[in-house]
Amino acid sequence: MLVSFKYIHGDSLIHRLDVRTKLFMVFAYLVMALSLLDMRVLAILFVSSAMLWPLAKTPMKEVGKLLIPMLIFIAFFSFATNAFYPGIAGKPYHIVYQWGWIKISLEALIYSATVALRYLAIFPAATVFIMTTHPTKMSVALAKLKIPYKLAYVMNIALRYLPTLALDYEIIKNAQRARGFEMDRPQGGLVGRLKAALPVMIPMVMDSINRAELIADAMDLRCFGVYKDRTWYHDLKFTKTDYIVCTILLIGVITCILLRLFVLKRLWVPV
Amino acid sequence: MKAIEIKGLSFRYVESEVFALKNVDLVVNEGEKLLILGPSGCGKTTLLRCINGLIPHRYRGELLGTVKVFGENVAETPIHKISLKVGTVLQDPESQFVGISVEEDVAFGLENLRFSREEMRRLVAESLSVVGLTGMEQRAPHEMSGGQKQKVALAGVLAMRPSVILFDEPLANLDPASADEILDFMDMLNKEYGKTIVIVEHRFEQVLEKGVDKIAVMSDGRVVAYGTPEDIMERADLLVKTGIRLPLYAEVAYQLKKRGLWEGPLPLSVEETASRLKGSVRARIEGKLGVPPEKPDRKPILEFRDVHYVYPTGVKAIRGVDLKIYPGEVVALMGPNGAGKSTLSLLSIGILKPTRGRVLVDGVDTRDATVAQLARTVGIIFQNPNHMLFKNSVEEEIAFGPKNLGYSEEEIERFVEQAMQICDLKRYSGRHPLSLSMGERKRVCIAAALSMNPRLLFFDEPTVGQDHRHSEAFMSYIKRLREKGYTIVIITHNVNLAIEYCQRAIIMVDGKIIADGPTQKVLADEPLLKKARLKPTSITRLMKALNLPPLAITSQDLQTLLIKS
Amino acid sequence: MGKNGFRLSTLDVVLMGLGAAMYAVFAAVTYFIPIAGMSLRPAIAIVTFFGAAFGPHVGFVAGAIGNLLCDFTWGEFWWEWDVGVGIIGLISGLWWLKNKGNYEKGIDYAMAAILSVIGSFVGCFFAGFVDVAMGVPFEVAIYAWAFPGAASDAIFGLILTPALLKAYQAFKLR
Repeated sequence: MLVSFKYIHGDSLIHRLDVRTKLFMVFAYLVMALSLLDMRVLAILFVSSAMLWPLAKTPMKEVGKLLIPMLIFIAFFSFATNAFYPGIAGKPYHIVYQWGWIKISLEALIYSATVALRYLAIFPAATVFIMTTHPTKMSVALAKLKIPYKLAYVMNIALRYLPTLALDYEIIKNAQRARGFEMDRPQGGLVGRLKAALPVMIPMVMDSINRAELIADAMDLRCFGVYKDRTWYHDLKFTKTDYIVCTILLIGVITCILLRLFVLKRLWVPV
Repeated sequence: MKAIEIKGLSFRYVESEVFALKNVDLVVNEGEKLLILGPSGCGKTTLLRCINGLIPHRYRGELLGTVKVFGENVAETPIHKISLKVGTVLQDPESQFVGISVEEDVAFGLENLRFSREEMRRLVAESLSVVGLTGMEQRAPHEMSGGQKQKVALAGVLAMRPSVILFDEPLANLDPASADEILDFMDMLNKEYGKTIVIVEHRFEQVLEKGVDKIAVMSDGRVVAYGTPEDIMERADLLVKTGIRLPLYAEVAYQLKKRGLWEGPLPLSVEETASRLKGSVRARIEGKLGVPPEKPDRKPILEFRDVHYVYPTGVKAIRGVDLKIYPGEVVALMGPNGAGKSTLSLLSIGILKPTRGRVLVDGVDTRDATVAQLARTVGIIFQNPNHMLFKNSVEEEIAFGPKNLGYSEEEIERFVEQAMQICDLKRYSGRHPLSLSMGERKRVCIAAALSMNPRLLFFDEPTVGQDHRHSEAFMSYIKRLREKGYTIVIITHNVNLAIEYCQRAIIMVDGKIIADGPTQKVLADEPLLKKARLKPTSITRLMKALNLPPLAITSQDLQTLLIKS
Repeated sequence: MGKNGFRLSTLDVVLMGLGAAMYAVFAAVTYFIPIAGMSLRPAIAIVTFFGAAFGPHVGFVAGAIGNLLCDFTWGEFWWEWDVGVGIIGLISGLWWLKNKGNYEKGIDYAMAAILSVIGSFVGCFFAGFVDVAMGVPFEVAIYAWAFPGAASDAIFGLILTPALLKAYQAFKLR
């Protein structure tokens, strides 16, 4: 298929978690990582977050493909953009290197590393969520999270018609190729190139609008939207594991916030 | 008891100035099977919408008169109450399959009506077993054929346990075998489960074959005839005038009757036609028919030499095809969905290059040419005109192809002019192609291919989803091209269409050609056709019943033969 | 908008879903229209068009869920960009509140084009500033991600949205 999801089919502790738990997990890591500027805690967070990969039985190849570029990118930019502002983490600061007008302070280096680590701590949780959650579970999860079911069902419609539209795209592209048009070798000047998507995009959008009307009729005939709520054929079950995971995450979040408020109020500098 | 009672019904859509329905009266009794016949635009879909409640609950407009379903006024009953009594199966299998899997789709209506999970499980299992799809609960829609999707739609309707089921052109997108299966289900639901069935179709012959209790004929928003099949057949003139094609065997009888060679009412089946013809007519058809078209000794315009094609996904679409198409031939390319017919056309224009073997267009290997070069010889007219049109005017649309191929200004002008001439599009040249009617849009697509000055044209399902009159109008353009000497390949499921317009038929199954020869012979071979999910026309069956050599010929040909004899 | 708040019609739900799926398909296949060595994505025009033709609510949801589907295909989860693309659709649809998707005059097309440009900047910079707040260095988030994204989206929005609207206006007459 043209569009393939990164979802990796499998049976692991993480796969079995309720989608809501996994969403909460991403959210919890976000809050925990953002609450602190302390490398020690962030390192613990990163390790615990990275542990999710083996727990989800994610193939190391996939992890490498995602992590290594991210690592290089974040590290490079964190240092390149923060390390040269000696006072970025407040005063006082200690210059460790000076060459002409370039001043690098210990605090700026630490700050850069901390910021990089903060981002990295969130990253594994987010990727594991995507890799272990089949998109079709999303709409039920959204509905259970009290999001109006009509909005949740948008996700269903999108997933249902993704393969259909991908096929339409192929057919339309072929129909235009048969007229001598190649989208990746557009003719004409700059505007012509910018418009190169239109011979495929216009037919696809118009045909979809036509189809949308047919689908809406079919759904109306089967009573979509007549009540304020609806039931779902598939169920999500909050198991004991879910409660345990959520509790641990909640403790983590509270701990981080308390630490921030009372103990680790500012950037931690090891000296 | 009256299942449906319609009195003085008129309806005008809010965005339209004319009434789509005009003073319709109709009664359908419980347990009856009613066929509503009529050309496109006659108001039959609007009538169904008035019964299932889409009108007036979703579509706004001016509504006069009443529609009652088991005594309840549709206009005053909320749509979810109606849906428990009336279920509707629509035309397009793709757009009514809204679930991500079969079971979710069947449960869709129940979910919306807040059924409990246990009840849903039970009803889903029950309805899937009725349509014979048990075991396919987890399948995704893109893994299923059109016929299977249509059965899922039917199961979804059955799960809500309506006593009336409406079918809105349910056969339009299906091959003949799948269409027969759906018709069999209708019959079973009617006879075994006592459901009241209303079918809207213009494929008269196929529906009639399985039997109906009553027929209503609609034209221009009115019911112009109503009665039993026998009653309706007596008014064949009216049917023909309305633009409905008679069953092919009845067409023969109708023509004979005009010459005084047929007495009494028109027949309702092949058997009846045969038994009434047997005594009176002795046909001799040795000699003239069954002659294969002359073997051209010219160079083929298209040649496949042991061609194999495997898609990147691993699907083996073409498995060893040898084929020669000669200039001036009109060929029918037939076979079930997924047999490789469309792949064959894409290979011919070089959009796909063979994995193994060679494809030669006018002697040039497609691997040594670009699509743009091959498009000067080969043109493809895709099934859905919406898949092609995007320019702001018909003229620009038609000029798009030749401009891409790098023809000179003066050539482009000449080709565009010619193409518009052939397709009668001159008066639309400044119109936006997307604002035209379906038939006109299809013509723009032919012109857009003709303007590239090709000599070989592929037509993918040229008449699918169109009524008799529109099909005939469209085919008249293909006829015109045939007379101008174009080589034409028509991809179709429609056996009679192939017989009427093509001399040669090629049948593909599973990426291989299993038959290639004169249409008359190939399309009369029942076991062969069965493999391709096709079936012989009633003319072939009639000839067999008359102890004539069963040939695949048109009703016109048979009737000429019978008159001569 | 009625007294019970916003009532979503079934057609709106379907348009949102198809819009999102189409955005995902286009984002997956048209990452290389070569212009001056840069790879640009015309997919955004789907979102700006859906906003302009069917309203800011449709634009927002189609954009946000469409980008979420892209996340599912890339294996990463950038929720701030999902919201950002949603915002692009939302702002592109503001003129719809006035003309209800009926594009007849030049001013309608001009407004749709202008709003899609504004939307592109607001949406991308929203995501950029959330990135900054989350700890991505300012220069990366704004100069390397948000700005080029906004510029590319704005150009495609400006050129493709009116073209799509024009086709849609004709298609309505069919």
